[in-house]
Amino acid sequence: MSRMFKKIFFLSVASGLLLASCSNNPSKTDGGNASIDTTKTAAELKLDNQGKQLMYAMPSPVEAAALLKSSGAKFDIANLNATKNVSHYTTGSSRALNLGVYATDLVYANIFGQTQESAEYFRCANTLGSALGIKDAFGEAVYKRMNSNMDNKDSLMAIIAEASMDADSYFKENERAEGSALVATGGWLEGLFISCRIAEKSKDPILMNRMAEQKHSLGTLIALLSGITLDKESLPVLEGLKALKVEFDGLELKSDESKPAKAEGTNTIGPKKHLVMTPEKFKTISEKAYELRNSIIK
Amino acid sequence: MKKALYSLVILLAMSTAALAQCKGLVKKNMTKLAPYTHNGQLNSANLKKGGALKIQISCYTGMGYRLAVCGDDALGKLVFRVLDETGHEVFNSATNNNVSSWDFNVGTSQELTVEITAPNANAAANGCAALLVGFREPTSAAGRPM
Repeated sequence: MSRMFKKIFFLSVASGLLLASCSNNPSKTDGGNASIDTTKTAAELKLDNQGKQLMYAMPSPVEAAALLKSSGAKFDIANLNATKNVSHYTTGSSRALNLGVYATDLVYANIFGQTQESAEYFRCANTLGSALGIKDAFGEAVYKRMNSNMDNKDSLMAIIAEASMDADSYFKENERAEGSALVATGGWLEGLFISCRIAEKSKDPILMNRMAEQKHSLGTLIALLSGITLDKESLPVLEGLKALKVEFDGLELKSDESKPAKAEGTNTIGPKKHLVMTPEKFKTISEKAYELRNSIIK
Repeated sequence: MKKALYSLVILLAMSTAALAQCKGLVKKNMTKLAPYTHNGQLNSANLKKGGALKIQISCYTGMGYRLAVCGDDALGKLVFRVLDETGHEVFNSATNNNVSSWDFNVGTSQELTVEITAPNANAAANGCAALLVGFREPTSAAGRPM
């Protein structure tokens, strides 16, 4: 028995090493293969050149919506993906992408106090989540909690944040790194789309600069997607994001002339600078964003 | 061959259980973020003595952040440090009373790297380490919006 145990132990260690080495592989995007690579561990976890586990935190739709609101943006349902489109999404990739889209729409509706719209977008997230096998993240119990807290925006936001985390955790626990990355992608794209639409109408430079800041999460998203095997439906999305990044990389970084406001007792990292979004750059970036976002929600 | 497959299944099952345990640990420690709002992300991995977990996060101008670190008891007191985009260390918990959380703003939107280690763990210890990220609109020390 002891001999058998030693053999099992040895094989387990060997398997573990094999799995760890799989997660260090460079980009494995495959143009012709529609299968999902299920032997990888979480896509975000690799080893850096010092042998330390390196993880890229996914862009947060909860924070993106809060950023928009803090910029003075107003709610407009025309900026969101129509709820009736939920029946269009029948493949794994389109469902994962649009779960991210609807989760962002849900957060956006909630942060602006739109309770009816929040409920409708929650139902869309529930529909797609169920189709993907995520029973509990946006399930009935969560819906009841939301209903009980409709008057408390902070509690609602916490509930939605927890639901997003549960969905993300489900993908990771079930070795479905592609699902996790696609949900993040759909969510990020929807956030960018909404930012562009609002900035386009208002012409407010503060909102345009907010949109420019999405550059920072874009690099993370591309790194995430490049580390997993994508199917034919998802590959064009990665290519579209790379084309967007080229435009974002062309934005100028300028120092603010005024002294940074610094409250007593706070820690501020770095000097005050901002990315400059010119009207020409805005036009190019927003057109690419619209095209890419509309390609995944159709 | 059968034995190899059996072992692989056990290993995968253990990994899955570890991830579920990580989620439980994160949920248990969410209260550390109050009054900041959790960003809804699960940033966690298995850690052991001598190992390190680096997490790259995006931070935006105009927002205040709280980073809170938590881990399984077996890992002992975790140490975390924050590096800016140039790799310069801007915070180290080991030289700040070994705190488990840190609040800050950023002058410019940027990527930061948070590195978590378990120097106080036993040699054989192995457990979940997680980073919780909370955000809010920045306020002055008196609690007023900046």
